[in-house]
Amino acid sequence: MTDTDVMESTETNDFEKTNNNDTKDQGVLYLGIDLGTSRTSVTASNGERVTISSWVGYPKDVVSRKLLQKDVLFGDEALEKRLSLNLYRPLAQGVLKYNEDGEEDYEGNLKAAKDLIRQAIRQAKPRKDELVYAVIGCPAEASIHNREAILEAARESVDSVMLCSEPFSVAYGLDMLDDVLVIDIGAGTTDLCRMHGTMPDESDQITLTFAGDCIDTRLSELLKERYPEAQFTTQMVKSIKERFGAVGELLDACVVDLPVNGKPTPFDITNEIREACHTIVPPIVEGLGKLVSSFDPEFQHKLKNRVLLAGGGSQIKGLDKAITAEMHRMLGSGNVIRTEEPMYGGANGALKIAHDMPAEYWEQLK
Amino acid sequence: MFGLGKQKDMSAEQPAEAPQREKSAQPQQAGGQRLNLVGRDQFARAVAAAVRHGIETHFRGAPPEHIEAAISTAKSSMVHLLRKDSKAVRGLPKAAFLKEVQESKAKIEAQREAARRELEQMLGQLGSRREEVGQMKASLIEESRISGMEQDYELGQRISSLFDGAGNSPELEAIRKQVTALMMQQMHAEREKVIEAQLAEHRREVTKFERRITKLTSSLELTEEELKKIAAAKGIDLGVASIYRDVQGLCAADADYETKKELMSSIFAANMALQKGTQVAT
Repeated sequence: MTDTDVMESTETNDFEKTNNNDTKDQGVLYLGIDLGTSRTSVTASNGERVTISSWVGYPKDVVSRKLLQKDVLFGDEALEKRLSLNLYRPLAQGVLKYNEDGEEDYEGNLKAAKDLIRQAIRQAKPRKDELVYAVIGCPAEASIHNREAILEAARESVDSVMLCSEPFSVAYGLDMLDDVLVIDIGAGTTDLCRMHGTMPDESDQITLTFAGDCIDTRLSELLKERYPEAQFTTQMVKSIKERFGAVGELLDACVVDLPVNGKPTPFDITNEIREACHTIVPPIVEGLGKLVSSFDPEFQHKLKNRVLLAGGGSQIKGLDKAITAEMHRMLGSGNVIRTEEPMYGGANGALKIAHDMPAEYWEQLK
Repeated sequence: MFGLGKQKDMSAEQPAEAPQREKSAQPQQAGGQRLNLVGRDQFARAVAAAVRHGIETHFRGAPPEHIEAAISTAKSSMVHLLRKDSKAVRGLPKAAFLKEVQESKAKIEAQREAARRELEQMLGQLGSRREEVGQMKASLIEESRISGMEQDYELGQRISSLFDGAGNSPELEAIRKQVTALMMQQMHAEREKVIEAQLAEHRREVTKFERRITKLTSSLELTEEELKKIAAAKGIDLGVASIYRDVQGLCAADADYETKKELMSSIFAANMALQKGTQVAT
């Protein structure tokens, strides 16, 4: 399965869910979905797990439609054909508001979000005769309108759906419910969440915009500043970061080819990568400091020593050590633990929540 | 329309259009082999040109009427041979094909549902029949025992009355006892035969149900296979079955059961509030 999967039409799907529960007597499929700015991951109780890039594109005109032979494209294929498409990344910073040109296009983003959710659910290969119950982890910052839109979109494809915050689902998935600080680094936002045995409320969560996109922007700035002759796009910078992203002293040399007047030219961007990736560390530790300082003083030490690092952004090499070092410097102590599956941590947790949710709750939310 | 070359990817994705129309079909997908389609007229023209070329090359100066006759014969032979060796192939536009597939799928699904319903009904009837047979056997035996005791008593009395007028010698008494025992034995055997006959009727019914269930089960399996074939024909994925048959929920043996129960309740409450438009979900 790749993130270039496409569908021909959003209007006709032979195996789209129906709301006729009489025919759904063959089982219960649970879905855990991590709806991210950059990637959307799904894990399901039928063993399927898929990650798709959160790009959604629609042909710009009849000619593009004829050429592409599709009504909507997803993931890398959408990105590849972006010149012929109106391109959306619907959950940029958890807000369904702007398109790539910076113009307000709420309706477009809403439609893209719905199509993305449908595509994610389709990728989990649900059977028509099964009840499908989904828990969607969405950015803690997502507004109530966004949440309503997500629910509305998901309801078209599943029998019952619930939302929960991403960092909470990560912690739940790992059974770390008490005295834990979760750092969930996504593309648009970094969510910090304090777990203390009960449902975290607003005072337990902090959302920062210092995340993957922020690193891309900073790296672009540094490259423009230091290598003005090099040509690159945001997407190229993102790919470089995903391949070489690292912080700390033990970083391997990072040499990339960037075109200069059309000719691929090698550039050693080790320092730029290190500097750009490190930009998110101080704000994260500052946020952790706020959550620690407002906690019961007796348990603050325990909290600082159980910091969970999750999300796609946590794959930056050396990030756990850099945050630990910064915590020691700013907060006196700290211990950061990396999750084993950064890409699926949120989705796995959401799946576990779906599994543990009592039947009567699902029924009431239908 | 005639196919030339290797015909590997002739599928509904490349529908045959109006007859006689010339078309060069593109490979359906990467790895597919190219299929060239030509119209009958074009093919006939090509044959005529080839015959003319052959005659003009090898029989210079041949009269034009002979050339035309040779071409005409070649054309009619070609049509005859093609018709003789050809196989009819259905060509449908994609939309019609999809419609047809959907109809077949719906039909098979309906058959599957009907078979499943019938099977469930049968299983229910079988269960109750088995229960009935069990109860009936017990009641028949009990009835037989009660009525048998009366009959045995009556028979004993009648046999005794037959011997009453014959005296009271020990030999006669022994004969009376033997006759009574033989009669009783015969009577019990007859009673058992009657019970067995009654039960056999019910057993036959149960066996009939069991045979019908076996047949329905295999029919269900066949419809499942048919559905899979249809899905494969259209490139439809029927999906992957979940490992769960029922809704799960927290188990009391789970670690942190109470905490998790409370968390589930909070998530539900927040989502319920969100659905009602009163609050943001957690």
